[in-house]
Amino acid sequence: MKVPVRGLLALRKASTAVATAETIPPAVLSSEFFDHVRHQVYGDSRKVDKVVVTVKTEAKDKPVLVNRNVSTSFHCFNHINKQFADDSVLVEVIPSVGGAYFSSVNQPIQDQSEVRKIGFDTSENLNLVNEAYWRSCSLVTAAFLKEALDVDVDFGFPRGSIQDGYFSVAVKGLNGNVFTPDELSTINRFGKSYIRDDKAFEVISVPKTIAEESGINGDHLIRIGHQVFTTDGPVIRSTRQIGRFSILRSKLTGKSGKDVLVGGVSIPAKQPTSSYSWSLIAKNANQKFSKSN
Amino acid sequence: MNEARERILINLRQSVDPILRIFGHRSLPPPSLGFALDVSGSQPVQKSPITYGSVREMIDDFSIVFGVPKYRTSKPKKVTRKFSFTRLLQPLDNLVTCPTCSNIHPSDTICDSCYAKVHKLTSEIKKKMMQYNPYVGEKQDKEVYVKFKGEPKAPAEVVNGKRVLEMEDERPTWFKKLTLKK
Amino acid sequence: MSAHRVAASLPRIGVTIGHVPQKLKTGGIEPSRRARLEVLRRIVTRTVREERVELKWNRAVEARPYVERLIQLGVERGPLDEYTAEMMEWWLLEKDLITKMHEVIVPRFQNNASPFTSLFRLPPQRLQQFIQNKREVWKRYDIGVLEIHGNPFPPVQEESSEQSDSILDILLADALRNHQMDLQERLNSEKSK
Repeated sequence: MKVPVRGLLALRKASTAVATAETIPPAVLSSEFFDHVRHQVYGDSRKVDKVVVTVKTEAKDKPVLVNRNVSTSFHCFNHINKQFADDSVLVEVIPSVGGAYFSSVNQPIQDQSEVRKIGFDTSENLNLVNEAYWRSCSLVTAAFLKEALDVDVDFGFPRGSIQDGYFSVAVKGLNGNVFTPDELSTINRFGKSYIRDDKAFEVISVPKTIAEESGINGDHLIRIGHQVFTTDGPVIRSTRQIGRFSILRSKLTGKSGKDVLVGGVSIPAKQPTSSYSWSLIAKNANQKFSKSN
Repeated sequence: MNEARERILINLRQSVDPILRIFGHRSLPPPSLGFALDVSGSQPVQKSPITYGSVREMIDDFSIVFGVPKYRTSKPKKVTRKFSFTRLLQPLDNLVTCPTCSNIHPSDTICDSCYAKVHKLTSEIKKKMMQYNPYVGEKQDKEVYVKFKGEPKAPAEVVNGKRVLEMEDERPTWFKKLTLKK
Repeated sequence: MSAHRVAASLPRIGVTIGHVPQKLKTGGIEPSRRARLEVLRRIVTRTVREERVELKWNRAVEARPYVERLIQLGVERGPLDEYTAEMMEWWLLEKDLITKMHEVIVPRFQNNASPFTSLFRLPPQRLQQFIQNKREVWKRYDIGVLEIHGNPFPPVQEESSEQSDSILDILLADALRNHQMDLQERLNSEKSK
């Protein structure tokens, strides 16, 4: 039976209306959501598929048999030795099909590829490592602030670089209350114990389709402990690699003046400093943070 | 010197005298319990307390009560003590990890796995270095320049001033070519 | 030229000289002071010939100042000196090594100061000595690596390059720069007052 034209038009309008009206709300980032997305992206972990990954080291390449979509580069590095795996910060993945890319260490491997470990002492990719470290510090701050604060808060991650001298996290939901020095010291203590716990940065590389479906704006979904965030770049392997860490100050920012920008500075554990140097760095970061807009 | 020695001897004797006297005393006879049949014929013998003239005499008399092995230690027991881990082995507490290869070695030495690599390449270069024939007048009178497979030929000044060693293998990644800093 | 006069005129050897002479033994010679010198002579010859040698630690420590002195003689007094020639003649068993010494090794150190050698210590090694009636005999040794600087071999110890791009370096450099600027400003403001 022929659908009357008006009916057809109405149908078409309806379908387009659905397409436009259905702006997917940003997903609630929780641990269960993380597992759900992981299941979506990487498939059923019950169906285990083996894949050969070659780990490139100074001496020779070692081929390793691991599970596709389940094992991460970290598991591959563990086959060399524990210190090698612990030292890894980022990894360069060169798949047999496709272009090479840089990824986090705890990101599952999807295809047969060669992996190259990047540490804090790898001279070639230092910029990348620095960026990833700064990004990770912001994420960790957001993670333990979320755990520490009993108010429902949301986070924004303004772009920053090492050259700024500090990293920052924008906290939404505090209603314009800046942290007092007492609160800052409590937060610092809590943060340091949180970091010492050696929490791994679990990473899912989310393809565009699933990202749109689920309302994730970003390439990667990251879980630290129980907190989940989205970012657009690789992160370091574990909070254990963070050495000196300090949240210095918070101030009001944003158009509404209600967002609290929290600034801090940190150095990797592999690059130890004297307390004098650290005090200089912290003071500098503090000054720069206050001066910035 | 002699006075000091005499003083020491006197002090020793003075401190030992009371001990000799104590050990010299014979214990008193048991007190009589007043029985009718008490034989008190034997008078309580009040002998003079025995004092030893020297430590030597005391030891001779009492050496029988001093600590002494009861049984001979068997050979297995002796051997166990001689070769026990506490005597043969000492734990090393000055071990460090090589930052390059994570091999463990004492802190005052270099990493032997890293050195093994270096030693292997050094031996190859040495073999090439020693391949000169002194009977035909070849001498070790020039500096050595090592050229690996796949590297560009050495510039002319090098060839004239130095002796070029051609290696068959490619340059290993860890043996960086030193470039002169200007 | 008297040996004492020459030794006194030379600069100090930049290497520790042991005060307990090791009783070095080798096959075929009865241990004595002369035998010790013979062993040292062989070690010095081998070091000059191969430019990097592995030997027992105590021998390497003993031989090192002798190698240094020989090179120093060549550097300070030149090849035509009577005393230097005599020393080279005695210490270097292979005579073409005297040429090598004067034409290759000594020119390296014309403008450098002692020490001209390096000594590295390896962890105790367990090495096979010999086989006695099908029984392998292994012994433990403390080995040292004695090398003359400027050799063409790969370096024993890689110097870790200074990275000025690591996080700590960037932050610290920035902090120090700003610190300096602050101090300068404060100084200037005080001056202007």
